[in-house]
Amino acid sequence: MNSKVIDFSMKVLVVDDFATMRKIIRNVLKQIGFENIAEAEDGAAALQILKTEQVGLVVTDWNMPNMSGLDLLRNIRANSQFAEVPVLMVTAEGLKENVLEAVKAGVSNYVVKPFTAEVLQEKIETIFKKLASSG
Amino acid sequence: MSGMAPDPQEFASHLERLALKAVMLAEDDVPALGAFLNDLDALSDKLASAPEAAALVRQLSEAGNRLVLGEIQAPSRAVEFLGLGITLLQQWIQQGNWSQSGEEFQNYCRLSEELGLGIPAAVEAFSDPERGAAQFLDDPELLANFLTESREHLEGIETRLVYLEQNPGELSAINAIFRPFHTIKGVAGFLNLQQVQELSHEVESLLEEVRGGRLEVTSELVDAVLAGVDLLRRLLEEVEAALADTRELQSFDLAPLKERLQALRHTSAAPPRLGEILVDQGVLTPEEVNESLKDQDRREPHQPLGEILVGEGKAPAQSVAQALVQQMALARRGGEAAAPATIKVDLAKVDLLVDLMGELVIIQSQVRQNPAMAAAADQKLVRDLGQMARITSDLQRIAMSLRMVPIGATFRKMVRLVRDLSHKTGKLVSLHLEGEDTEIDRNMVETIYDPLVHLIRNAVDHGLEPPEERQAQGKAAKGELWLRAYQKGGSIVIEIEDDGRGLNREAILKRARERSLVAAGESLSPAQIDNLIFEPGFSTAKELTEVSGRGVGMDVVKQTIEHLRGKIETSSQPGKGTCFTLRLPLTLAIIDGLVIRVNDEHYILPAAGVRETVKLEARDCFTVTGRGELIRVRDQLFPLVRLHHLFGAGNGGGSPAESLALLVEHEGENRALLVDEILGKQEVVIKSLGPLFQSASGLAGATILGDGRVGLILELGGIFHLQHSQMLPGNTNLQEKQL
Repeated sequence: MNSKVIDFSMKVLVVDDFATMRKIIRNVLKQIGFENIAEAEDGAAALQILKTEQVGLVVTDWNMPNMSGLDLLRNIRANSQFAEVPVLMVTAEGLKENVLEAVKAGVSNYVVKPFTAEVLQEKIETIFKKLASSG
Repeated sequence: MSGMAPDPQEFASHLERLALKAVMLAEDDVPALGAFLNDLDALSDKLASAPEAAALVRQLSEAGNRLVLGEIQAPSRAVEFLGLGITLLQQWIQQGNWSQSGEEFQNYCRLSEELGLGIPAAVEAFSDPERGAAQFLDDPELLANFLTESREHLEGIETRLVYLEQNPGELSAINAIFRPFHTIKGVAGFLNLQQVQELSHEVESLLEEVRGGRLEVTSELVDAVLAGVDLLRRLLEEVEAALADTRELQSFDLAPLKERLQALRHTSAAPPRLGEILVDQGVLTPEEVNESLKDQDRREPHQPLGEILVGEGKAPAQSVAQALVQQMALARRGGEAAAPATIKVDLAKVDLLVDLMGELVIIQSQVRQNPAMAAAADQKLVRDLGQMARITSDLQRIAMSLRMVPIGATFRKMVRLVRDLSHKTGKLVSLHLEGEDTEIDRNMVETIYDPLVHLIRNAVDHGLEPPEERQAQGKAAKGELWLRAYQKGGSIVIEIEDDGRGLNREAILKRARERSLVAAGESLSPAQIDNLIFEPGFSTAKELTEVSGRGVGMDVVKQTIEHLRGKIETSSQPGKGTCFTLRLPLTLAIIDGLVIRVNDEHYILPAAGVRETVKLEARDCFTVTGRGELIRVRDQLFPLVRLHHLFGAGNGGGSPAESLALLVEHEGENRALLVDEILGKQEVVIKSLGPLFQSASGLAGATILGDGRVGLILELGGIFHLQHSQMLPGNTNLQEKQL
């Protein structure tokens, strides 16, 4: 797969407490064309990585212990160092309230499980297209 | 901030930011949508003291939420909706309310419904500051007034629609139909009769297209509007019933009709496109236009085609400007251009014209028959006279055609009648209309309306069987009813045919005997029995029904048709159905007549009734006691009628032998009329005899003949009747005559 708007060399951070899910998402991202993929098993670990490394995109699960995906999102947006980093929320089907909360909290886009590579790519492309057009 | 009125200044600038965001919104821009929703939330926090604005904001949030969740089929419409909502809020902060009549609010409501969001009562009620929705519901008097008034408004619509169908270009007719819907809609809004309002709005919108010339009046459109009238009536009935029982209003399913009305509205003709006009004018080639159109697609922001064409130097600014003006003119006129140009003329003038044309034809033929003219040897004069005769006759034909209208409008009124009857009687009927384009004299259309209604009522009420009975006989449960019109020879034929039980001849005969319409021993042919139903006061309906009334009527139907110099016949097959055939002359003003001489008098006999002329011989003439004089033609006997006697036109008591007789037919009866001479055949213009001679039997009118003499026009039915009464026992006048 190929895309003009996405820089595939960027680091993508996958946040999920479930190792299997992290693996699935990693595989899908690879399928899309990303090579530089980091993983974190909870929000705290994710924030730690964000502080130390240059991350181009966060893909986070909604439902996680200690710090939910929404809390992670709010933390990211509140930190001036990486407030602008695009966040893609992965959520279970049918939890509309979650989506709306996330959207209002500034999520860049969301994707509902289960999803295909095409859907995830489309969402990511939308995110970077918007970023590119807004300069 | 809660509980406090928002600071207008701050609020306005907040709104301005939102408006900007709304403009920039894209349906798939999740972060922007999120920010927009946040702003809306912040806004609604400030609106605790303004419930109506808060309700609107909540609706916008809802739309935004659904947009984010991908629940909206047409996301771009939702974005448009959000923008409109912000505009309304801006109106609110500037003026204290949003205007209900404003385009924004109308569009907002339309989109809101389209997106399935509905209109919150608070939003709608607030839009008109004078309005208080619910309180009127408790005012039964006001509601009752509204019901009466609305019905009055609706009453005129049907006839106006039919008129409009015949005169599609007539703006005043459209307005007369448009106005009632508009009024009803307005008042219904006040009374919180939502469905009434909704439906009348829908019809009004459709009529608005017609009014604007963007939509043509078709029978489909008329039918849809009629259906709207019907449903509106039912809604009003429901309001009345709910009012009487003080219960909740039931709601009706308006969707199918609304869809139908909307579908019609979307057939509205779009004005031609600028490019097409320029190509038509030869300014540009189609390729050049396409190129510029592609270019237009690429440009951001959007630029009108005209500007691009001028900018690229493809077309001179002047040509583009001219094309734009033309486009606007076409848009205004809409479908009008395709329809034939019409003007409205007072019917009285047309009648006068037809009359004068009649006079012209007469005087023209008088001039031609003038002995001095006949003696004229000048070839040119003879030629010119011939030419004048042709032109006169053409003129007359055209003058006549001015009064001709298609019978379709009358037929379509029957559609409604049949449906209503079907409801009332519980019989299933499918009505087939044929020959709706057949033209008929306008003066006749009005006269045949009542007879048609009567015949159709009879067909549904007496002719067709109830569904169970039909099925028991192996027929389809749904009865068939045909209404046909066609032109045959010089007549318009209208047929009303059903596939019902047919005429019950036994019952007819029994009834006729009871009423002494038929002598006890007399035997009648089936056709004669069928025709008994046209006798005065005759009815075979076992019970009186609401629909067909009291059995008066068939005689009136017959009289009406005969008054138009038409004929009505019936043919029936038991168990198979009945067919009534109306034969009407093409026009009321002229008949094709045979000019005959009886002694010194000239009469005109309508040519339609004359079968042949015979030269009588002594061996073919008989006198039979009780039946009067008879003549034999090819082994068939015909009663002889002596016009001399009937009209007292001198002595005609001689032997019929060696004289001329006309074999005439009327309603299946044949007679031979004894005449002295046949002077010729000609078209004559009928003049009424005037009130003094209205009761004269056997005469249809008079005419001025070519030589300036007045000739009486004979009417066969009356003559047969006269002769019949002269032959009754006691009147031995004829029987005494011997050959």
